[in-house]
Amino acid sequence: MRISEFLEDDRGVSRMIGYLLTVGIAMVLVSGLFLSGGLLVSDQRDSTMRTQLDVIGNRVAGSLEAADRLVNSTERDPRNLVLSRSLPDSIVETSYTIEINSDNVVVEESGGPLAVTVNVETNATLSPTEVRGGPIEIIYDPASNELEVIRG
Amino acid sequence: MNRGQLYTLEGVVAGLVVLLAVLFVFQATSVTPQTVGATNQEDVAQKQVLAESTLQTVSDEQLEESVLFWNGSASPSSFHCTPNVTSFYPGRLDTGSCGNLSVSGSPPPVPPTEFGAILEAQFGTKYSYNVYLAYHTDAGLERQRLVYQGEPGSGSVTVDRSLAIFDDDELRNADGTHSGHTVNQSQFYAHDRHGSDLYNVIHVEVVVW
Amino acid sequence: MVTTDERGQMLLIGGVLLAVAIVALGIVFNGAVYTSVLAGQGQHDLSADSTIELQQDLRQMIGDGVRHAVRTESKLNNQQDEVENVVAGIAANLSTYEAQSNRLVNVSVNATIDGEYIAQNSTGNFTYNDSGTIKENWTMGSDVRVRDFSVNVTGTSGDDFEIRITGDDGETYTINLRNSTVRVIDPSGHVTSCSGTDLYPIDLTGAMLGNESRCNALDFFERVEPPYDIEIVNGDQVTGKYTLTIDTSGKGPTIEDRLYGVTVDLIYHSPSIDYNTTLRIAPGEPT
Repeated sequence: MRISEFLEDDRGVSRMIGYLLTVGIAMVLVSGLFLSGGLLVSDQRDSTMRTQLDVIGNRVAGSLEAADRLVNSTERDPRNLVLSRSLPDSIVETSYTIEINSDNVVVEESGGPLAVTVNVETNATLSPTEVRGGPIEIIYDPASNELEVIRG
Repeated sequence: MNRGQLYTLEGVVAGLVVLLAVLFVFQATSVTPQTVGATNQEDVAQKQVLAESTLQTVSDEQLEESVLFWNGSASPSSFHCTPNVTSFYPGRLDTGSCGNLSVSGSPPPVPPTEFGAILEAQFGTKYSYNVYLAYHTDAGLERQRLVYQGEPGSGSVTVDRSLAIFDDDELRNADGTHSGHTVNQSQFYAHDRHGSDLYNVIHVEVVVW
Repeated sequence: MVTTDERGQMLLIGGVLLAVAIVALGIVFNGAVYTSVLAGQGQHDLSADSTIELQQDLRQMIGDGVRHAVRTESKLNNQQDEVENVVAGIAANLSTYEAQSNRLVNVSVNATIDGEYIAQNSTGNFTYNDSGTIKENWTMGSDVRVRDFSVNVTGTSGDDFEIRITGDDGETYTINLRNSTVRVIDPSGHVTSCSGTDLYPIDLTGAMLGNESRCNALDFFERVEPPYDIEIVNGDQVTGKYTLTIDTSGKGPTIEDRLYGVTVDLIYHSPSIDYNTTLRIAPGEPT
């Protein structure tokens, strides 16, 4: 097209460009939708993960206290006590770790910031340890009056 | 571009967008929980705790009174004041008649003993329950119904306690007093399975739903 | 008015809006269902607590067995045989019953605790005849544990009759029995009491008074460090009867060998718990 023809052309805009603009805007809208949707979902996942970590933390703490109650239910210490708990290997498709301290349990997602702490009160001492999330065993050692958590 | 092709293209793109959205949503729900099962789990856990704690608060004497609340001289022998066709307490259904100890209203829907009163107080309004007495025979475990309100529904919980009955334990009268007749002298639902002083071991099972 | 040019765009925009709605719904439902499922999970793992309940049932059943054994048999070795047979019977029944819940339960007698039954069966002073000398202050048992200690005071000539329980740690609790009051003085001197009519016979180990009411002051027995010494002080100031069973040997007007209790080995296996322990069962012993 010669410049003069271009200057004399009084049409608005070519249909192709109009179409491309519309589709372009629609694509932007849709990707904006997916982005915010993705953010919302990941927020949901975070709160879900936090709840799930809390549930697991309470299960572990509750099991430690139950084992302690059992140890205290007899005059002499038991010769053997092993409690098994089949916890899930991963939550919200993420693995997690269980950390046992002297008076609490910390359940943390691997490679993430989320962690939940649950307090535990027992007569027996808790052997500080850290295990990968999943099925665990709580073992009582009468010689040292200690409760130990291992991966089982 | 031709109009027809344009419309087709737009329609297809719109469809693709919706499809993508749906696929995205399905991928986001990475766990498929049983929605119906979820609410039931909490209810069941609550029921379990209630049933456990109730059975634990019953004293041994109260338990023994109800286990031995048997009329050995009736024919056929049955628990005191149960309707003629059954030998157990039918829960809330109306049946025969009897003077009773601690549960008001005749006929007694539950054992007119302190154990029955505790059960009715704890479960009566919100839940249905059965009480079975499991005892040992040469063929295995048999169950004698103490309270039967029907077949347990889904989400039922069972809790149990064990009780040892000895040869010289006495059946109780309808008013709760000792009858003077020992279990091995009367028609009792369980039989003497041991040469020693032990008569049998009864397991009281409470099913709540 | 939608022109033919805009109809396609309407379709596209409609599609986008639908997609928005679908994704939003998906997010909301996903979150709601997820958290409600999680809340329902992991409630109350019961396996350790049902083991404790089984132990309680065992204590009750075997305790009853001990009581029956001493009631039906008068010689210690017959009592031992009887209680061993009873425990074997209970063990067999319990194994069968628990097996249907997928649990392996094994109960056996570890040892019997052989003790003595001390009694004053005819009304008299709570004194001790030590080869001719009547002593009003004497030690009934040293380093013992006691069960079913029942005292029936029918007359008093003074208010100073005491039963002193001295624990293994040296702390002494004093029970001062009077006509219508029971006073308990703890090691620091603090006094608690129960009063009333028809107090006797008093079950000291069970903290029950003759009028069927509880005497919480007598709960101190649960806190005494075993084994303990039992001393009688000013036994000449009261008359009455008493009976008790101790787990070794002691002194008193009449003594006979009697079964005190049993220690029982418990093995408990289930998919979630492995447990092996020994229970000490003595009916009527303050826990």
